[in-house]
Amino acid sequence: MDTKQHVFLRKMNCKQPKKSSLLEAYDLQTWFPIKRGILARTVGYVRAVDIASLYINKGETLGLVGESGCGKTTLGRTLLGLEKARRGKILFCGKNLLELNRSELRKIRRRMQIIFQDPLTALNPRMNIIDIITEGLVEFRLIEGTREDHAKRLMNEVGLDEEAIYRYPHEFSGGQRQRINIARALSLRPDLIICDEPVSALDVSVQAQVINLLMDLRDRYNLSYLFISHDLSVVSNIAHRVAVMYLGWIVEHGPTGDIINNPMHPYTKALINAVPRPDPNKIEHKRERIILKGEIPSSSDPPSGCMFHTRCPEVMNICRERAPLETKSGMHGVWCHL
Amino acid sequence: MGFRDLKLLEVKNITVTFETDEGIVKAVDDVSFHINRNEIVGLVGESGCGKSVTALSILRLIPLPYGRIETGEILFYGKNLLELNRKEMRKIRGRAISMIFQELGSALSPLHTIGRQMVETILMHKNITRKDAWNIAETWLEKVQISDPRERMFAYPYQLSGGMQQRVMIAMALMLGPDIIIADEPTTALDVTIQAQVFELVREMRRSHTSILLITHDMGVIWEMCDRVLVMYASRVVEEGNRDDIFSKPTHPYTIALLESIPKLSADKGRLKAIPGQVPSALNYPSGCHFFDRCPDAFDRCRDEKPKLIDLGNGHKAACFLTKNEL
Ligand SMILES: Nc1ncnc2c1ncn2[C@@H]1O[C@H](COP(=O)(O)OP(=O)(O)O)[C@@H](O)[C@H]1O
Ligand SMILES: Nc1ncnc2c1ncn2[C@@H]1O[C@H](COP(=O)(O)OP(=O)(O)O)[C@@H](O)[C@H]1O
Ligand code: SF4
Ligand SMILES: [Mg+2]
Ligand SMILES: [Mg+2]
Repeated sequence: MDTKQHVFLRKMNCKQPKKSSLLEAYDLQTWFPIKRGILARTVGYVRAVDIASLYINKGETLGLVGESGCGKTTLGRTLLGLEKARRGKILFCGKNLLELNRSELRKIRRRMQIIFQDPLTALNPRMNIIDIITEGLVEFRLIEGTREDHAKRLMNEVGLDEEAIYRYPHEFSGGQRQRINIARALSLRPDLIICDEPVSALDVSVQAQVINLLMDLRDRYNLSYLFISHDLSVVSNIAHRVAVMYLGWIVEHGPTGDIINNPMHPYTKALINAVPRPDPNKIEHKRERIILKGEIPSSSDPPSGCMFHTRCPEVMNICRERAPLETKSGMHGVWCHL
Repeated sequence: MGFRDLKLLEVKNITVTFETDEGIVKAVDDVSFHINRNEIVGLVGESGCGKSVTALSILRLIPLPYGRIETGEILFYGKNLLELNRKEMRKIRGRAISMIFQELGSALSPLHTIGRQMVETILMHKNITRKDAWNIAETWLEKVQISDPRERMFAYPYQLSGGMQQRVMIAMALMLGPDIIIADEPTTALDVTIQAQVFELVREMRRSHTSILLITHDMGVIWEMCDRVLVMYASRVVEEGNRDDIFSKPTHPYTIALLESIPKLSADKGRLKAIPGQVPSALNYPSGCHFFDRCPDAFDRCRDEKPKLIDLGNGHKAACFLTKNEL
């Protein structure tokens, strides 16, 4: 990036008091109304996100894991303001996003970008690559020099051939399309990128390339990521800290090593145990299998008390009656009665 | 009993092609393997490498007329399945060899209840009363841990979650006591804790002496479930061997690279060893070794000549010119 633009963008960044987080969210709740009948009366709610608090520091990657339908995408979209939270607080550089007016919000939006799971549907098939990856720059009037220069620079950054800027999305493979999405997210020099299952649709041999690219860019530009995935192995590889979600709740969070090696919540334990993994040295040979019973309950009719009590191998009476509060030790927090 | 007698199914030099608008696609190229009695064989590879087509060709379910099994034999109890007539083949399907499909939709009809579909299937193969068939079906739903099996018999597939539909399909694959089950990515669409439940069932199946061909793209699944492994890349089998050999002394450069590129469940960070480039399109596989353009060890010979599987002993084989016995 040329230095002039760089300085300009830097100026826009907030001065951060030391050690404060880039993004903090408290007690977020996002429900979707279930409507019935001709009058479309609301008969209930899908509690996609019920209780979720998190923070992400500058340059840090927070992994968000959990099984499908647990609310990961909704939480990500809520942080971006794409879904409306019915409760809670989202602080970005100390400003509460839920209280900003439209023009203030627009400025902040530039600094939070998103990469989706399916790289093809996220790209407009009728736009060529140069238009796709410089659209945001034009919108925010950040173009200096030619669009071609910007586009070529971005293509280089994500490891694509700069000559390809006049091609269309369908001419690229899945991995290359995801690189295009990354280039687009990168174009506005964001502070935070929400990566929603960015490698889940890719082949195993291509996944590693994209994960490496994301790690390189993070280190080069001190980016922060919220890295959403159902795959704990992928998350453990890229995230500094991990938050585990179940039925709209963040049930445990902490440094990646603590979560992987010393999980506290019975759900996290089961999740880690269930990941099939090669073990040629037979270190874990006698790993005892934890098989959870039953299915994940519906988020429109969640269980009372602790969300996990219907499947928890260690359930006690109190779990059915009262929702647990957070127990913290250092940076490791867990919502469980145990 | 000699070694040969153990072979329940033997696939010999199968080649399958499809006629497409863009040209002829060779989806499976000269693939051979066998499944022993009481064995779980894993077929692993990335999407498009020909796993599903291999599975479908065993049951002769390749869509005609575009698809064709060009060459090869599929011996089941020594009989070539490719020479059976339709009626004989229908008896084999479901009864002797059953299949669990990757897409949940393709095996269960949305129009009929679970119970009806199960009962019809049983009656097709067994000469028993409807009532007995109903009881068998219900018992199987219970065995695969479907809650309230009596009520679920009256449910339509859409009323069940993905995990439950998959378990119904497993029950249907099992209830006729087949010799072989072909499971094509049976858990790819499921969450890991539900996958763990399904695998628990598969382990039980093995206890009932069923052989299984388990297709997956996940090396972790191969490790946890399989006795023997076939690694496929771009329509060909590139390596074959016992699970322990494949993981502790992988030999083909693709197998080595694949194992190294998988993110490990651990807090150690650092760049992954990625395989450069991408899986080639089936329309233009390289003319020599199919891994040629991505292989870190490729040399001149690999460009034009196709390596054959070389025996390394103990049933371990690899198709690479660098393989010891080949040089
Ligand atoms: N726009 C929406 N309207 C109604 N329900 C929704 C909507 N988006 C998501 N949901 C529901 O919210 C829950 C959480 O979904 P999602 O955030 O997509 O989970 P995840 O990303 O973890 O798979 C699911 O039950 C889903 O069906
Ligand atoms: N019905 C079909 N018509 C044309 N090509 C097909 C058909 N089915 C599969 N193929 C091609 O055959 C190759 C192997 O496919 P498949 O066996 O489904 O791969 P896998 O199961 O390993 O992902 C692919 O290149 C695919 O495009
Ligand atoms: S034959 Fe050549 S190109 Fe193919 S895997 Fe071996 S070294 Fe690589
Ligand atoms: Mg999602
Ligand atoms: Mg397939």
